[in-house]
Amino acid sequence: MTSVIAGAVVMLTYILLAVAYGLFMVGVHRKLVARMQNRKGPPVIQPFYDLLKLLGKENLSYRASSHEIWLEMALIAILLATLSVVPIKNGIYAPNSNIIWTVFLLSAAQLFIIFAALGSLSIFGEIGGIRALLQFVSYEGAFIISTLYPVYAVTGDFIIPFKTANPMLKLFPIMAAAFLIVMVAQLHMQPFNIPNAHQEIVAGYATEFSSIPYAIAEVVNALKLYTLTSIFTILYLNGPLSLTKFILTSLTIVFIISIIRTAIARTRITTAIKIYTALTLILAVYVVVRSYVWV
Amino acid sequence: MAKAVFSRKALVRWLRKHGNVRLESERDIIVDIPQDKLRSVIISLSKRTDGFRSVALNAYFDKDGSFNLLYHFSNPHVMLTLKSKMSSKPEQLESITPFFPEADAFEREFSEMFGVRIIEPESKSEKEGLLLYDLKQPFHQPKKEKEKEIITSKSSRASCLIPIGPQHPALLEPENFILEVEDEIVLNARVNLGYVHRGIEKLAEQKNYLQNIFLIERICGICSGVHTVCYTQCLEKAAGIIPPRRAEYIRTLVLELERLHSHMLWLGIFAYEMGQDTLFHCIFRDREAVLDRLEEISGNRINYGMSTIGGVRRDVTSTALERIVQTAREIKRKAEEYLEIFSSDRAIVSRCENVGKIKKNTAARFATGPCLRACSSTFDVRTDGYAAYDELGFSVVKEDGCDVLAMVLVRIKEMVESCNLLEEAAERMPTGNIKDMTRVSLVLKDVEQTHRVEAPRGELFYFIKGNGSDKPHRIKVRTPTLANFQLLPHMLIGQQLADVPVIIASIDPCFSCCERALVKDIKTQEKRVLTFNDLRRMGR
Repeated sequence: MTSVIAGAVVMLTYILLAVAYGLFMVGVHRKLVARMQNRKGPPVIQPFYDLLKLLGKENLSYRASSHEIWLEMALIAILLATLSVVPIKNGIYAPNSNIIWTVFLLSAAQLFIIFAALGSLSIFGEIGGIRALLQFVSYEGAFIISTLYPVYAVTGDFIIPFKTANPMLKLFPIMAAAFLIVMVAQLHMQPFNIPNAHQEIVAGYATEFSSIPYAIAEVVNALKLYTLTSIFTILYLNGPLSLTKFILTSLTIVFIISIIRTAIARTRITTAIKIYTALTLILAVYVVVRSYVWV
Repeated sequence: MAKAVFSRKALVRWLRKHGNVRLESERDIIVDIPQDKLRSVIISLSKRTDGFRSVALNAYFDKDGSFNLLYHFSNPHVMLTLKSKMSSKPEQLESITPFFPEADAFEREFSEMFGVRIIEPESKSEKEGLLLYDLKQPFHQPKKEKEKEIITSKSSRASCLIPIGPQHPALLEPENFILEVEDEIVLNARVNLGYVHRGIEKLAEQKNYLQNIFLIERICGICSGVHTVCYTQCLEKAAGIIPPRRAEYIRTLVLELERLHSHMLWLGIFAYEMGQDTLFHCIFRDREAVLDRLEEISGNRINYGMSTIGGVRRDVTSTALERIVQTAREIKRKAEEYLEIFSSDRAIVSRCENVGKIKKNTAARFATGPCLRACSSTFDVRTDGYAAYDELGFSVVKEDGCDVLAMVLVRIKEMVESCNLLEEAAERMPTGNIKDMTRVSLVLKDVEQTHRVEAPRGELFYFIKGNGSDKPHRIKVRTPTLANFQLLPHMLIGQQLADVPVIIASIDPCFSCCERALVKDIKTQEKRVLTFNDLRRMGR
């Protein structure tokens, strides 16, 4: 019994650390972007302040909206996002963890946040939600291929191997690049911040979020950033890594994302769908060629 | 517009047949026309090939209560005012939009301000006021062929109304745009103005001419200098004052610095609207140099207080001139960089090219300033030769794209042109007085005067009427945005929702035009009016 409690405590600590590190990466991202844009930028721990402040705020919703649905959807989303972190420890996948499990949880968490937005009954929330949904549908294929295929090609299963002879970055550089491009859209970052393009639709899917639902959306985002960088390091950079190496690689990824954000203007939703459909097709053709022709 | 052959003599001869022509100066003509002939003269004016466009609709009361109705027109050569005196205020007026479609906004503004109903001659329906008209009324803007096509082909499907503003991250000023959107395509668009109407024209009648300089300067927070220059030059024309050449050169310096900083501000905001924040920050960093120069010569970054009746209030030192030349060279280099970015960066060009396409005819009617010059027109009021523009060489920039990209390129090239002008003006700066020193106050006789200058956003029009005292009887200001905003429905329809901020920004809107709010409770359907104190209490 005591071992179960001890295990639960360890797990909880680990999840909190994951959230904290995710928020820290968001802070670093904001700081980096600010420095690249010739601004001072917020302190690195600004996301923590934001989160604390949001938790203390009054929850506002207008009467026509179904507030319970929002909160439920947001809670389910955070639960799923949290679960997606569970198999990862220090950048290591727990033995016999299935990569499909993580992919499913991440995608489902994203979907539930969109459902929460659609339940807000705000015109901006709805447009943002629908845009997020369209984008989700278009990048999901590329995301699934770029995460599952390398594992399957090397092991013939969906269990993540601990060590491979060559890092998968060398074996599948196209997949690694595709993963990074999808990651930008997964995190709704420029140039794919279409669902929350504030010049067009205010805050998009997050327009009507306030207080706890908004804090949850932020935490889900931080967890997604953490999980995606972890998957990348484990999958492509031949994890498990030591803690220092993991921090270094994850911050490098944040740096790459920041450069993309500063350099490119936002695309339209139609362009984004075209890009992701093309990417999915290229990956699909690559997989077919690699599996049946190349071998 | 440019193809029109204009002969001033022929026009005056033609006008003499209809009314009493009062030639005011080289650039303006004011004609008294009997009330019963006014409409027929306007109709035949629209049929002439002089290229006249409606600029404003204006009126004032005489002391005996008679009502003076003024239609202002302009073409690249002259400003024409058709004035008609009536014994009392008319109940209603027939609209002139069938002949001058651009007069729509001016007529609506007029009916709002004077309480005269404007009746459409064909449908006999009454025009809505311009400011804050009821949001629930059906769309006002005339249905264009393109729009009809979209609506009839897709009207079976559901569309939704999206409010942009009055408070929206894409807008810097409170305005309201209602968009009818289906599948992210804009089907219909309506602009709703009047959230910041401050009654400056009326307030100006209570202050004397000198005090008004500082009031007029506060019409706009970006192009403040151009308003004072237009106002003071209009007064100088009316009173026959000739300011010293040095003053004219200093005005030109301020105007061009202002055009630079206005265009840079706009370019930055434009980049921000399409989600390119980095460029926004870079351009705003570069713009600081221009503001520093303005601060150096006037002591202020935005409201310079430079122009005054008969000259300017502060002199420019030779070191300041040197720095202006330095800054101009720097900005010229930067502008060339921007030009390269905006014409080669694929992400940016794909957001601008063929977005918000307008027909040349539409632009020739509604647009002024850079928006007009983006549609192959070369109409620039600076060619009138006010201030020192008659002595300085500059070329009018034009583009043929008729889209948002063309508007961007026109403005960037104008920045380069402004830098050249600054260098030249600084080099040729004459010595001498900066002000007609004898004058302390101004009393204007019973005269009417029109004047126009090229503001960064287009043709800025002023009308001043004196009544023998030191206060104006009537001041009418037509800012360029009032003309340009009529372009927006034409540009927005058929475009994607993602392009809406870019298109709205492309005309460089500056809605300088509230004291209560209406709150409606959905459950109880109860309406109540909030006072300023209520709002303040709620805001705490």
